[in-house]
Amino acid sequence: MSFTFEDKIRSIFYPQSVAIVGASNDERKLGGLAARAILRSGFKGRVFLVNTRSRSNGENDGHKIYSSIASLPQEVESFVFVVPREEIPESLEAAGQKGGKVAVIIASGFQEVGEAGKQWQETVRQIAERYGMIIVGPNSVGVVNFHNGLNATFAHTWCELFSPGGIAVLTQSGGVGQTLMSQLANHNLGVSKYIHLGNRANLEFADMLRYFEQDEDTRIVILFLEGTDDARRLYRAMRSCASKKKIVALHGGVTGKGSRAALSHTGSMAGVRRIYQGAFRQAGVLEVETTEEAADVAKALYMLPPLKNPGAGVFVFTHTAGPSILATDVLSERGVPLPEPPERARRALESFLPDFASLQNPIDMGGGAAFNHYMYVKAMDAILAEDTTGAAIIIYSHTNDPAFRFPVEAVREVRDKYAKPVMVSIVASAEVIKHEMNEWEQAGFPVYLSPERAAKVMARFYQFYRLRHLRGQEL
Amino acid sequence: MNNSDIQGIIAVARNNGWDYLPEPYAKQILSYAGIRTNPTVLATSEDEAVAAAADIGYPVVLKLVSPQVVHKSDAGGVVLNISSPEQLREAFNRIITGATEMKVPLLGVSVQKQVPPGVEMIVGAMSDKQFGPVLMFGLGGIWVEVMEDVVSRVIPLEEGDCYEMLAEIRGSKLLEGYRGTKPVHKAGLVELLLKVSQLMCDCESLIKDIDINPVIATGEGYWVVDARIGLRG
Repeated sequence: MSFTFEDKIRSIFYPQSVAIVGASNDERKLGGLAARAILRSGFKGRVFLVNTRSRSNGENDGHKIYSSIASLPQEVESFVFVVPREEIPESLEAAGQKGGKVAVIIASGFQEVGEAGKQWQETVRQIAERYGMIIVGPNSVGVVNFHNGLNATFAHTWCELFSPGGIAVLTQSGGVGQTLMSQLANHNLGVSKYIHLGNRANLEFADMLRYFEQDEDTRIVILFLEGTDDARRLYRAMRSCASKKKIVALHGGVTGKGSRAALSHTGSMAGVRRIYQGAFRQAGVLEVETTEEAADVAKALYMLPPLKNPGAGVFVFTHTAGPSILATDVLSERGVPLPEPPERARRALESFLPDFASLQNPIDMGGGAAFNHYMYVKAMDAILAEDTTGAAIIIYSHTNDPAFRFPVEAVREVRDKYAKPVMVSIVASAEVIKHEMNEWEQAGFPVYLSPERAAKVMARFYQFYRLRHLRGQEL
Repeated sequence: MNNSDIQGIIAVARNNGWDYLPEPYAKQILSYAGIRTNPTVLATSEDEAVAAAADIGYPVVLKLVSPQVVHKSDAGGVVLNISSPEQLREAFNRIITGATEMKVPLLGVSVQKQVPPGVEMIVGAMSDKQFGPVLMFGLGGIWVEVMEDVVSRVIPLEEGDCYEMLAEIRGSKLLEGYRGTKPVHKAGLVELLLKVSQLMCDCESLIKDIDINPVIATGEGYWVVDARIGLRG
């Protein structure tokens, strides 16, 4: 049976066996961290440690350290190289002879450092081609599959830090990849797979997007890219993947200064910003501007039901006028409709809200609602029922009193009745509301810690689903 | 569209050693592609120009035609709103004198129908090193460089992409009508974008880029009033 390219990409995430080449006992070294990552992340396949410098019979955590790839007792599917650049060609050759299908090359000093490095990369690429191996990298942090505990990086805490979930991270830069992961961790979001492509010796964004398109564990792909050698192919792959999955993209290195950084960073020239912007939209990919926004938006797309009618507007519910006005300013600037309650809903609101409540949009129920949260529940019941309501944001400020509790369960019941997307913005310090945030998110309400931030996410959410509707894509 | 007509024009240009098509030739190609261009005639003498204007109908515009002058108005090579044969003769001689002083090779002077006012837009197509053919659309005329209000799509485009482009430019409100003017005929602009996309697809091996600036969008449709086509080497 011959292995197709698709089978090999699968081998990146589902190898039967993994060898860490350059593994060490010393956790101050990358080789030590990489060994620890694979051994303590719950990976069920076979793991082999190799270190050519080790005297015979070294071991790590009960695992024998082999002194050469050739002396491994069986064929191995995936090799992770934590050795210096100069040792890669020989090791890769040995790995090819040992049946390797995947080479994760963490070593740097290749194309990203200019001409000399380019030669090294070409040598490595040719060896891989001879053995039909896929290279992740070089100059890669590695790959993680959070669903089977395959942690082929030196970021050994990641499988403890993240629960398995549906968000994949596909990145050109290790630094941005780690920043994105930290942002996702702050939101407690579950991750499916992480892959840092690095210098892309023979594995491109387009290949990975095709893979994620059919990966059952992935619902959302966060993509960070600086440039690619075949943007037309990238465009086609994005378009195809976006028809099945939601893609949030961040594009770096596109202005003058950024471009120079990109040149020295990955050795590839970033494309023209405007052309990328157009291509993202045309492909149905949602482009965002910061890593924070990427995680914020991914969170909303991940947790919320789809926006069924992007012509219907957003209602903001609050007991505190100022913050909600900041939110509605952001929404109206970005073209999100903010309708007023229709007659029937208005009469319903008047029946239980105080006379001084503002029944336009934002619906400001007055300070009393800060203590009588059931006003929120009743008001939402009246408003979410209307066809002109597409989505809602609840904005409230926390009194910092631990006894203060929002009736999350009751709000959830109303929301479920109408299956419309509802976000929450809590105005308080992250520490004070940690518990409350958790409670909301367990119930499927993404929480943002400022009203403007929630509003920006809502505007992106609208942008995304408008595009989706326009293109007749699956919601 | 008849590809052999287009190839014929490009062959003439190549024989002359031009790396781009001057306006009357570029417009000819666009009209072969089904794109509306204002009536344009290349005249090589004053009398020819007067005769052409009588055919086209006043008011007319005169423009210098030279394979070396891209920015015609900067070179004093454009005279608008000519409404009589006397004005036309005067303008013709002024353009010829200017060109002679600048010592640029001269193909003649084009006589063009002056079109009614509207919103000046730009439509461009080029072959990007990485994406291949892409299309640009935005505010045209003198605003291009100041506003840089241009959006892009990968060729080929679909109808929905075109409508999105119209809505995506910052100046999209200009297309909705302002100060009592009618909204522009969007379906017409969309058709223009689709035809440029198609032309670029069909002639990718011959055409390097297309620059239509401006195209005048009105309530009834559009008129391409200036265009330039770059040729592949």
